Amino acid sequence: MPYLYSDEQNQIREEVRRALAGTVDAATLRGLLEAEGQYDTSFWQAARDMGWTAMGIAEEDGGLGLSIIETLIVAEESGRVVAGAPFLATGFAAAHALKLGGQAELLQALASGEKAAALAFAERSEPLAQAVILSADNRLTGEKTAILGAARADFAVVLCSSSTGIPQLAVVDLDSEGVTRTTFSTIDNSRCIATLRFDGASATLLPLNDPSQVARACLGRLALHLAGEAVGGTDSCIALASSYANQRQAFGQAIGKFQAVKHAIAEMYVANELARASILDAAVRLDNGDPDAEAYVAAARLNAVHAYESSAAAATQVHGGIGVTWEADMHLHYRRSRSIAAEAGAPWFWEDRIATHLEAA
Amino acid sequence: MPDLDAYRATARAWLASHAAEYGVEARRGLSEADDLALGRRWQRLKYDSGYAGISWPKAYGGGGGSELEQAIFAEEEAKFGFGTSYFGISLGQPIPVMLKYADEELRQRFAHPALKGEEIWCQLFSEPAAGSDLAGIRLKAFRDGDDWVLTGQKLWTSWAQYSDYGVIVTRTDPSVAKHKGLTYFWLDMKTPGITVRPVKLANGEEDVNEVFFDEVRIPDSQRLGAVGGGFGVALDTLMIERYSAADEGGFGPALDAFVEIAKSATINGRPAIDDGRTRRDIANAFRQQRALVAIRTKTFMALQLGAEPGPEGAIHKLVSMRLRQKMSAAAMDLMGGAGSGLDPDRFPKEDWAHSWLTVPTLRIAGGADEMLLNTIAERLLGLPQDYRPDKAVPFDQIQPSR
Repeated sequence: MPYLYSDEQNQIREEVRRALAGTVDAATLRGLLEAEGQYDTSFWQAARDMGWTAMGIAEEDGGLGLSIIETLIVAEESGRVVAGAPFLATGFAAAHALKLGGQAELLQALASGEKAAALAFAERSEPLAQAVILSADNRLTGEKTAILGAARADFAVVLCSSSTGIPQLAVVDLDSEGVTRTTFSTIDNSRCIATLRFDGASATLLPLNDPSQVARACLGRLALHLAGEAVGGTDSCIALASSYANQRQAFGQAIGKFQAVKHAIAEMYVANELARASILDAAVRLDNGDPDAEAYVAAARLNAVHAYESSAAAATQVHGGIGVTWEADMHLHYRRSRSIAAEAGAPWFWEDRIATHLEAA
Repeated sequence: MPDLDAYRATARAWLASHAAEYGVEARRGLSEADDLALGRRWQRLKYDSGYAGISWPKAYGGGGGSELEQAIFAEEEAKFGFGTSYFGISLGQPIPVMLKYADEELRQRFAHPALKGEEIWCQLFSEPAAGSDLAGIRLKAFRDGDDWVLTGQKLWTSWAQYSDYGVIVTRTDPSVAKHKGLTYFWLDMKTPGITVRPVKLANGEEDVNEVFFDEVRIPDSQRLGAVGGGFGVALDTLMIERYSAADEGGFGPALDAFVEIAKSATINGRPAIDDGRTRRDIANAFRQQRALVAIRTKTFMALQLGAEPGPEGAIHKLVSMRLRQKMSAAAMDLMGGAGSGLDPDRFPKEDWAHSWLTVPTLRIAGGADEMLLNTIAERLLGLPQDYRPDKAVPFDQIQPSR
């Protein structure tokens, strides 16, 4: 039954949850907010040790060969604890292009966690841009703006154009000559966002039939993974808000008795149930090779971002003054929800995918 | 495990073969009396074909199938616009309650005529001062020998004007707390002392009624459940339909129809379909509607494996009706002034103005949005009940609602 989790999948979820409980703590996450370009190394170590980095990669490439459904379980659980590293999402997305482009060695490095990837597609407000030029002798020139994970990733898959304007995907080592990473402080620093400047950096062209289509698929996978994180994060917002609304007394009763509070929390739940089902739907369709999957990925992305952003804001509101203090966890979610919303394209990008799909139907 | 997709395909083919004779085109322009007559014939055909009361036992004229099959059939049926609404309550709650609480002779007497569409039942629950707060009903019943005598008023009673019988919740003991003094009966709507007056709703339709009871005498043998146990029977009634038919468009026009309008309309001289606001409307509808379909797919699979229904129905109603309201208004905007045109011969499923005009009723009937949110918050998320000052107070000491 594709829409119901199997016993094995439920077991994976339990294991991930248990491992994360012993690994991720809020104090570390708060510290990372003040450290530019740093990530939670103990989380990342756990992701490597537990094989989460290998999950979605084929067995012949050193992975575990699990489906997107399992990968998204890990995404959801890491989102639940606001995990302090973005490399599962970026690796999962990059692997799609590397597989089609025959990059077995890099896939193995991703699977073992020895290397982390970034998806260098965005330029300014466009999540899928190709103004960076790949010369005939495979050298990159141009700039990719605010790339998720790029501050610490080992390599990037770059969306670019040939000198004659044909879209291409290339792989570049981010420590190589001609690559400048500019990190800057963001609302959620452990996302390791950096702008990449290429000045003749040497790259490897990925031999692909339809690089544009592969780029869209990679971005879709990134968006879906982030959507999974968002659903987990929203679950946490609901739990935190419910717990606080049950405890906190005002005007002689628990504030959860007031419908203004209670309904706000119920709305979070409704939004997240839509997102949860939508993600599973998109994952099943991707897994089945459904030609319409892209529109469903867009729906999942929009539902999840809507659920997380609205819930993080509303849950903060439910907490009152305490919710806006540094020591409370609410701002971790508030920051992460907005960061995720910006990391793989603004709503209009995904809305357009859906409208285009329906227009053609 | 039964193949629900195959069931759906078979049902759809059967429905399609009768759509011309009984569906939306056959109903267009009919008077309500003629429409009801056509609806009764449609109900009879379903009965004869095993499609009435699909999940009911065969002994009572049903199909002996599953609730899922029944829900699937109803979903497909709704797409053709058959005149089924007259029988929705009748077969949805009163008769199933009779099947659960009445004796075998009564079950046999009443199940078949109702399934055939020959007799219609109504559910006399809500009152002027008790809607969402069902336990607040005031209609009095006092014991007189072997009889009960009922006096008071019901309101929002769907199809009472066509009903032969009804089930009713009454207050038999005002000296105890509000939930405890209620008793449940069935009755003949022709019993002396009952007056039915249709209430014209804001959308112009008259499917609900106020029903007055002036010393209406019914025998104790028509009681269902214990004296004082009426609230429990009433809750049972509302729980009977565990999984009902749903439509991601809230039974309004489909998203495709919106896209078609957007393709032909213009905004400030440019194609509406290229306008970011239109595209956002389309995407918002798509993301929510497809999520509702996915929830439903997931739920059907879980129910097949024996799971209990959860909050899916509440989520579906909340999301689909709000969206229908927004989409209807947006579609009317795209049609300019003509969008406000109200053709009396068209139905909400095919007409944005009708859809828009009727949707406020649907956000209240069968569980107002606010009650659905309360249910989700209290039952699922463990939030406390609202402050209810009348909860433990004897009913006759509660200030009447004004």
